[in-house]
Amino acid sequence: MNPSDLETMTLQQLRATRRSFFSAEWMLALQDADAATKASAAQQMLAVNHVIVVMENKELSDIRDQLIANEAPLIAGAQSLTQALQDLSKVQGVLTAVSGFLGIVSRIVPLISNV
Amino acid sequence: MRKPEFNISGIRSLMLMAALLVLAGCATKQARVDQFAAFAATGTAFTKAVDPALTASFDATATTDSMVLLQARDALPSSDRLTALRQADADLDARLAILGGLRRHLGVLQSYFDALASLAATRAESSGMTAVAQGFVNDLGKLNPAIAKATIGGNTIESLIAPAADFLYVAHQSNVLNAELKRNAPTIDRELRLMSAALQALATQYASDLGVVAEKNYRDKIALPFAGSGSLDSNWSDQRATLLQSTLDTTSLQAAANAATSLRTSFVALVENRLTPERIAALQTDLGSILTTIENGRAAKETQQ
Repeated sequence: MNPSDLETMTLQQLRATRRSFFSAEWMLALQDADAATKASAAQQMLAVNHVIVVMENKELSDIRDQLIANEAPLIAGAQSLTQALQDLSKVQGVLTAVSGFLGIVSRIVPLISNV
Repeated sequence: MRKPEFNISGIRSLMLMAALLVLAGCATKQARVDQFAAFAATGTAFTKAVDPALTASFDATATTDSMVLLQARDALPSSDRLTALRQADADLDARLAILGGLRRHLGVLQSYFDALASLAATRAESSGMTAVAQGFVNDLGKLNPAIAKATIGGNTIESLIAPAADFLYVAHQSNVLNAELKRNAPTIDRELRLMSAALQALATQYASDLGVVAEKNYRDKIALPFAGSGSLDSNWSDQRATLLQSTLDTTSLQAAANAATSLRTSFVALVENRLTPERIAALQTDLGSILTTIENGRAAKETQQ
């Protein structure tokens, strides 16, 4: 079992344990317990919940860090696209091509119209 | 030396063929640009749908965390209560910071999709290029009136200029988009994989958190009253039916995670030039339903509390 699978399995077990602390069976079992036992049960529940949140935070922060590492090319891509849009808006390059096309048309049309 | 002879009907045929090729090429290029536009619009919708999913996730975690504190409180000596609260607050602050980082990152991703959408959605006409090209034709017509009268395959030169301008515009647009795809495909693929992983992790956490809420509600409203000796509320059966059903409603974050996976599948289809309008429509429907599902989940949680 690799470390990732082990973490996943541990987290699953902790989550199941936390849920069981909220079951009717657990509450009834603790009903007649002495104060020290109840305090110990409460501390254990807090500890289980703490570990769950810490492990979940670690899982999420690992992914977040990788996402942030992916930002530079995304930002560069967005800037490149925005620049391309501005270039298209200026239509200079495209107009040059159209102008060239029309130049060809203007040379061919007299030949056609002479027919 | 003999002068070369122009075959006029041949020139006409060639020009007609060229015009038809331009129109056909324009349609192909436009279809490609439309794929980018659809993908970008869906990406933008995705980033907007994820934001409330992050909020729903934190709400569920904070609710569960508070339930743990409240249940522990009575059994703890007062000296330990503040310690427990401070620790829980620190854990949730850390979660908020992580979600804040994800939220900020979503802004970056949305900017990328917006830029892609802006470029893919512009048309030659709205860019002003068609009008300017038409101006060229008019000017040429003044210089050489034959141009205004000439026809190719029954179409005036003038009527062919707008499609030609469209083609040149769309071809350039398509080239820019394809170049961007070539340059950044691995980045976007990695991005969508990571978003999918993040949302899957949040979906699992969300299901676990809501499971605790459901367990407590069932215990307090159904199990303990039933196990006790007192009389049951008249609506006990109805409440039981409601709670049994609401415990299954943990799917809103899972829907967001599934949408991330679908978006990545669409991206692969875009790269392979097989992104169909049907696939895009299905994905957009899924994204729309995420928001509805999250709202329903929130309402169901409020009903339980």
